[in-house]
Amino acid sequence: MKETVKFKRPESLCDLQTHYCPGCGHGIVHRLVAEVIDELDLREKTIGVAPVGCSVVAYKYWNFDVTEAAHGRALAVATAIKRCRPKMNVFTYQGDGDLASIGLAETVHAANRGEKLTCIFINNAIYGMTGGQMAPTTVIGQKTATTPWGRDPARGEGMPLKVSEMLAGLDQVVYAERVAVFDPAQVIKTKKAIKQAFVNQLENKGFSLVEVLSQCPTVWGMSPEQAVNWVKQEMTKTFPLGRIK
Amino acid sequence: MEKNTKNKFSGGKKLITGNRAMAEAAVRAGCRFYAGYPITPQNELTASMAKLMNDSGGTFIQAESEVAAINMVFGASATGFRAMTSSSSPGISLKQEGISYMAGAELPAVIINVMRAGPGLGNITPAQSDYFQATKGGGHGDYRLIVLAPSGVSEAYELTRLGFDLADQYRNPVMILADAYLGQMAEPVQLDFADEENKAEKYDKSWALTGAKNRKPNIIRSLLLEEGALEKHNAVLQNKFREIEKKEKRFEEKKVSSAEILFVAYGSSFRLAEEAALALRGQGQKVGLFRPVTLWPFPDKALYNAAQGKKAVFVFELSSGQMVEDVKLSLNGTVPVHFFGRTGGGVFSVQELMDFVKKTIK
Amino acid sequence: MMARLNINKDRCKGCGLCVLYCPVKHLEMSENLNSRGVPFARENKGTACTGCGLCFQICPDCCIEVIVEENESGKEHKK
Repeated sequence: MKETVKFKRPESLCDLQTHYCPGCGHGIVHRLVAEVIDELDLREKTIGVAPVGCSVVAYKYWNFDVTEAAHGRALAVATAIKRCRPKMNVFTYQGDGDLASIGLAETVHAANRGEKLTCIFINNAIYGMTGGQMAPTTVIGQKTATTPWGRDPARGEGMPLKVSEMLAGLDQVVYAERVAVFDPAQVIKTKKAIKQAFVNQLENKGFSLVEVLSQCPTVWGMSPEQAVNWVKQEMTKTFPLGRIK
Repeated sequence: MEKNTKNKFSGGKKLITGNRAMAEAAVRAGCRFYAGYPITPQNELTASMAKLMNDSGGTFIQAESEVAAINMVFGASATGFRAMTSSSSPGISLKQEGISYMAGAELPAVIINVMRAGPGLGNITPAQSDYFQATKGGGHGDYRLIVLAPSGVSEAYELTRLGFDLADQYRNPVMILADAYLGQMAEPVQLDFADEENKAEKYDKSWALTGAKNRKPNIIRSLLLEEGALEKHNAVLQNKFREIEKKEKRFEEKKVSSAEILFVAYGSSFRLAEEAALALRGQGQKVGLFRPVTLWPFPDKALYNAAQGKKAVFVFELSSGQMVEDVKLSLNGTVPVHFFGRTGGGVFSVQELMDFVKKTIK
Repeated sequence: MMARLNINKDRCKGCGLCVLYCPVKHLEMSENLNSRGVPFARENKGTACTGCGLCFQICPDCCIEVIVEENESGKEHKK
């Protein structure tokens, strides 16, 4: 009988304690990105673009080239990187403020140009890093620091933006799937989606988006168990899981 | 494109506008990435780059905004490519965050500002009212831009080429500060045969993002959260700026030693100041000229030396008076300084300058 | 033993998600605290690990390695 390690930290994920909160979805998705990059043998050809948000220091945790970008501008930065070095595997990893608020123009235009990029969108329906303000994806009735009585369109606070559906309407977006990491089965589905998004880039297809509904226990004011349940039961009502394009 | 391709552009003397000349300079300097957004009075520069980037195997993107454009330049520069954007005053305001990020991350780039009158939407006529923005920061944080100010189309061509070398040498953004006159007027330019690939490749780019093969991963960033790290990084940047101040001040002076009064001007206003000086000399007034070419680092010592013993220094700008503050700082009260300017796109005539000088001297 | 876990107890942040999702209740939270000052996940010796890896999937901090026994043909030895 021989012992083998069936599951362990992928090579592209650094052996470091992360600063993320207990139960935060970032740690899971960082690992999935690293696993996929290892499985596709892309580590030496990958350039990541990290956002502003809790994962601004994502470059600490990945074992490949990464650049920061100004808030919201990751897809502009990534566009140029991919155009200059088309053989590189270029991806952005962005939160909901970065991708759908301040960066919405860059997001729509990179997608519209069909830039051959992989875009990982971490949707936790709130601005985590700055202490819990409303995000474009905050759901109706959700209490945040800037919507203390719950988000209400009648108060001019808008509706939650469904980014995957919006971008799916653009011809040059070839793939848009919404997934989650609230339980192990969903985590495995998320990995498949991330892999598809990177394979699309290898095959030189257009713009690929993976929207990951991600639990944020601390800023939601919940335990990790409550937080995963909130994603499963509440967030999916506004943001249905599945492949949109 | 994976690397610079050898440039086969023809040379020879051509009568071209400043906007076009700066584009021709960029491609010959090895620029292979341009992102820009239309804004008058520099649209011809953007349109020229669309063709030149195509012809040279580079990348041209008409970005969705000025903000997107500067961030695209950030990305291209991060991969080790010579990259450029151009705009005019309001668009340069939009780029300030991106410029600050590039200075903090030590990324080279050339940014061209073809100045127009402001503030706000202003109009599309020439002005020199972005001197403060260019030389005193513009963006947030303790950084400097090397600012090169051409006063003619041929010099705009030369300084744009120089800008790419300085940017790579010091790993810092460089600004070419032109104005709508320079952008739109046509003068002869010697477009030399291109051999820019050699120049571009002589600068170390081992820090660039090219894929972590056979090396540790590279990180491009300006965020430094660990205690003391940002202060240390600022010290590194400041050392760099002191070195630039020591080595890169550039200026031009004419007939200074025999002069009794000195005119100080840059860019287009220098052309008018020069005419006024010539006319006044014809009337027996001994006028010297001092033209800063680098607005940062400002040629303070050279100006101080040129001004000593003069009765007065006159500063002419197409603004309410911005460079005049640096002139006063340089002279430290040793010589009286007088300012004449026009704002909002107005431009002084040679006669206006002469009248002002005569009235002031009386 | 058919499978076992290597848990980096000092990297564990005590989120409890592995305990929540283990299908055979092989994981539990400790009473004492790790060097981070939080309870950490550990194997419940009263049950047998099946090597399913669901704990690995859900752990946000990559604290868990899953080690399985394989017989000569390389197949996992499962009860």
